[in-house]
Amino acid sequence: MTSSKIPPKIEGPVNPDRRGDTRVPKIQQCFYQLAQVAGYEIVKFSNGHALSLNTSPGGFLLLMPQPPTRGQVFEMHASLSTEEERAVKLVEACWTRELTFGDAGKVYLVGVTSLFQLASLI
Amino acid sequence: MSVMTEVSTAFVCPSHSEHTVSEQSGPGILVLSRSLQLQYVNRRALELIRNIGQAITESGVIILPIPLLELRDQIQESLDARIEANIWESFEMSRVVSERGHRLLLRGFGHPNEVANCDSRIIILFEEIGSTVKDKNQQIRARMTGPELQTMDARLLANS
Repeated sequence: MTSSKIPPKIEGPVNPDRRGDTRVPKIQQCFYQLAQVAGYEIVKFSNGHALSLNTSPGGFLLLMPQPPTRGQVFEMHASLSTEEERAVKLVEACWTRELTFGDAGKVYLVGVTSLFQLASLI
Repeated sequence: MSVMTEVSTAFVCPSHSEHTVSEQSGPGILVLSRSLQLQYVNRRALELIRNIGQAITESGVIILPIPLLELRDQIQESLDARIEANIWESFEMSRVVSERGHRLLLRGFGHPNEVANCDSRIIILFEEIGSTVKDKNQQIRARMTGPELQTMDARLLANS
């Protein structure tokens, strides 16, 4: 069984695409899963690894190898402080920015807001 | 570790064990809008739905089983009533479905959005219960970390 947590509601910043609260730099590898759906039809599943660059109570900034669409809901997995526990987060993509980055080719900065979090034992 | 090294590690040499763990042991997740548009579903959810009935037709359309549809509709009804009454706390409704020898715990969450009501969401988690020793251990060791959640209804539904 997993425990769950709805992130606290944050007052909206002037620019709704940007988080207004304090960000804490924190580089952490995470695993993501995307699902492209059209109506109740699954178009495509994809997954991979991303980096979380900074975090705040309302969301975080990711570096991803593929861009989600604006408003797309997807799943992130990251380790918590204890090795046996990891967080599964549902997030919504607010904006994406394409970057050319070394040998990795194109990567994408993605600002996401947290919708839901649950802690799961590995 | 530098950012460049982190990027290389993350994108080029992902941890196989993490990949495997993430895909196999995570909960099934389904996200719907307030108007019941499907916004996200993961592979695990489809796998667990398949265990209790048909999940996907040959043309790729997802077929949700009746207990899941009932839970979804209950949450939507409650979500609409709460938004109408300006109640903005998230809430949880759950049920257990037993079908074809599988027992699934369905945990549905109504997540009202005060700023944009149309962005309110229904989130449903699927967890198989009582099937393996590992599952039992997970159930025992799990801890609730969301005290702000309001549990509205917890009832059992045995279909078999």
